[in-house]
Amino acid sequence: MRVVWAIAVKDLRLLMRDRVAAFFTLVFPLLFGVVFGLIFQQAFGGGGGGTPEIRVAIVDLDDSELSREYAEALVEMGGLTVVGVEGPSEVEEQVRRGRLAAGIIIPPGFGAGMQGALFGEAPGIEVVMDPSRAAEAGVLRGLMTGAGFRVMAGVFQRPDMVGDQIGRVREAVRQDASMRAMDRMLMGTLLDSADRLFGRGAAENGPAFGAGDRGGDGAGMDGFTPVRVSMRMPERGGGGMGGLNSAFELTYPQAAAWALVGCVTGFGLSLVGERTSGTLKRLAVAPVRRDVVVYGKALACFIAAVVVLAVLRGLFALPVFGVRGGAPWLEVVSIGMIAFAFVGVMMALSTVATSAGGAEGGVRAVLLILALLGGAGVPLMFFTGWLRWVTMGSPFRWAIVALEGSTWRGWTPGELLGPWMVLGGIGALGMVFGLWRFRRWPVQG
Amino acid sequence: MLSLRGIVKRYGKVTAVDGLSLELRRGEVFGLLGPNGAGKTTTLSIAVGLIGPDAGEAVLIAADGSEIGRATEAKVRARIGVCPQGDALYENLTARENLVFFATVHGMPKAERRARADELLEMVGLHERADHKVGGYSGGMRRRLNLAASLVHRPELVLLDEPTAGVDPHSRSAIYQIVDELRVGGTTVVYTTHSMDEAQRLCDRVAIIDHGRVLAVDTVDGLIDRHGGHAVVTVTRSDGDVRTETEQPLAVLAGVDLQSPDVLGVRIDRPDLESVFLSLTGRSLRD
Repeated sequence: MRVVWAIAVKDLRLLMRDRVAAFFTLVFPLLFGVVFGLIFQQAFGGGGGGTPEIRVAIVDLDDSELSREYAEALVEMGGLTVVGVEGPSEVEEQVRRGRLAAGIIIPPGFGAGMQGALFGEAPGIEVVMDPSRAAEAGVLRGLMTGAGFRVMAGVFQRPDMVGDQIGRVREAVRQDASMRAMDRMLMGTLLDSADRLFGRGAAENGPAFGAGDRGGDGAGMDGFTPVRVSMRMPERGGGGMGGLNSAFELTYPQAAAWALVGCVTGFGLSLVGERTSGTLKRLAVAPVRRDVVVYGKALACFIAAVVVLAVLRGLFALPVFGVRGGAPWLEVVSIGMIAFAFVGVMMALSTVATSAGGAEGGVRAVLLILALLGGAGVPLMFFTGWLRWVTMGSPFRWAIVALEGSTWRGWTPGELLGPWMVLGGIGALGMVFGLWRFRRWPVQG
Repeated sequence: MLSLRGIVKRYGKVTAVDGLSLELRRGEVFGLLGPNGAGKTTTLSIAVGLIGPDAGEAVLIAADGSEIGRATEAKVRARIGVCPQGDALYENLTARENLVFFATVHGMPKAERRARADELLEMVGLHERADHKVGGYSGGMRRRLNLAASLVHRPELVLLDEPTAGVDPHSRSAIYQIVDELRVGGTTVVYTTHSMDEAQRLCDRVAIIDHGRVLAVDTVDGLIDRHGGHAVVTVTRSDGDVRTETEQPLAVLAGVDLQSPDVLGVRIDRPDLESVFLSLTGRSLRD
């Protein structure tokens, strides 16, 4: 027992002296639990986080009293984060670039249509929807219908608006020569009753139905809807974006992200292996600059990443997967920039650890958490609030954005420039840091 | 060939090498003999420029006595081969691939690499396993390949850091043979070991090192003559051992009545490097 205890104490001491290993044994699991607890708390509404909010923009082209009321009702329904935009074209662009889940365009004439919704066709609203946010589309449609009922309930509290509508219907009945006399008389009686109910009655006795009992879900209306929501996908740079060709358009960048995890892990550990196996010592005494070791490793990592990404792209372009392409040169540049960024990630991660064990655990663990934060596992739609900002720090996020942008999202070179620059920055910083660390590695083992 | 001048290396409060100076002659096999932690590996690392000394310098000397340069310079490193203590090899490469790779790193022309690799594989007795991955090699085979990898660029000076540590007798014998061949070929060899047998078997001259200092440098015979003391004749009798330290052990032996039933046995212990170390440090090399 004494020997067992002595061994245990010795191993604990060794662990604590290897700071990287200690970090990934003690601190990292704690961070992992906290970070993902926060993500899922927000995603699934635990602990007061509520349901994840859908990021939308509302463009009111009607600018009428009812259209403004509709927009306000939509916001009051909850569940939406409304972002200000200039107009329909910006909505289009923001949705296409994945910055908004949807853009709601209230067309001219919406207010007038809303007044006559009960007696004629409901007014239409156009929604430009990100095809990758299909799960949120249904929620948004429900919220929009609910807001429509709220506005409609408000209309019935206004005798002037209802009176106008009844007058319009009465005029239509009068001008309809084909209507039989009996029907005309019955309609007249009905409209008189409606006039009494909504005109004087509404003012004296309150609305026929209010927001409290009917607004929000449309139950009992037998298919009636106060607004007609038509959803479409944003326009692509080179033509119609349409919906997702297949779910593989979403999973292809995620697959690429996991391939990058494997690539970076493999080369990162092999760089550490050079040191632990002693081959670094042999290379260091060769008549070459010591840096060539890390340059060679970086080049190999870059080539491997490019090949892996290109092969994946080729596979996912097959008809069975149906991932659409953008301009070939944009895809090539995106793949190149992603590979460059992850060479930097590899160099930075592999040179931080001071022991083989620390590197083994550390490289894998950091990549795993960066990949998950970057949307390689949990879709980015689950990241809301400040967590959405946290994802900006993950190179995987930018890789996924660049791959989506250069393929099925059909981004222009100008739109891709942002992700490319971020990826380039990550790569350059990682390489500078990695080289700085590598030059301080003790070779003598 | 190699001049180590007043080398000092400290790690925190520990002084690993303490003012060490040595002059290596061209073509000799020079032994660095000392216990673990004596500073042998640190000295080698400084000699090849892997680590910088806190004081002193390591300079490579040409045959005409002129200085070629310090080990931090590429032109000097091109003339030096290092066989580290561990197996500095790529396990997932074959033996030939390893050698060709290291030949490439040393700037050997492509046309010569494979031939040189094959030559070395023949030399270390691994030609039949040349295309097998190193990961499947035994410890002895790895050590031989490790040695071959340090010779791939035909260095003038080879530093072997305990090349036989933990190897089987067959591989040890093969390594001894390679060192002998290097000596014959005119290559200067620095051989660190804590085995007296190896030092006596292989080295033209030996430096005894302890606590980072050179205690003595000479040929093995010279060290024994100067520091080994006398031979010890031990006569085992029924009532105990009688030890006699003498310059003339045979003369002492002649005075013993070997026919007497009282004499159970006789042994002559000649002085060796262990005696030298004991004499110089007051403790055994194996302590």
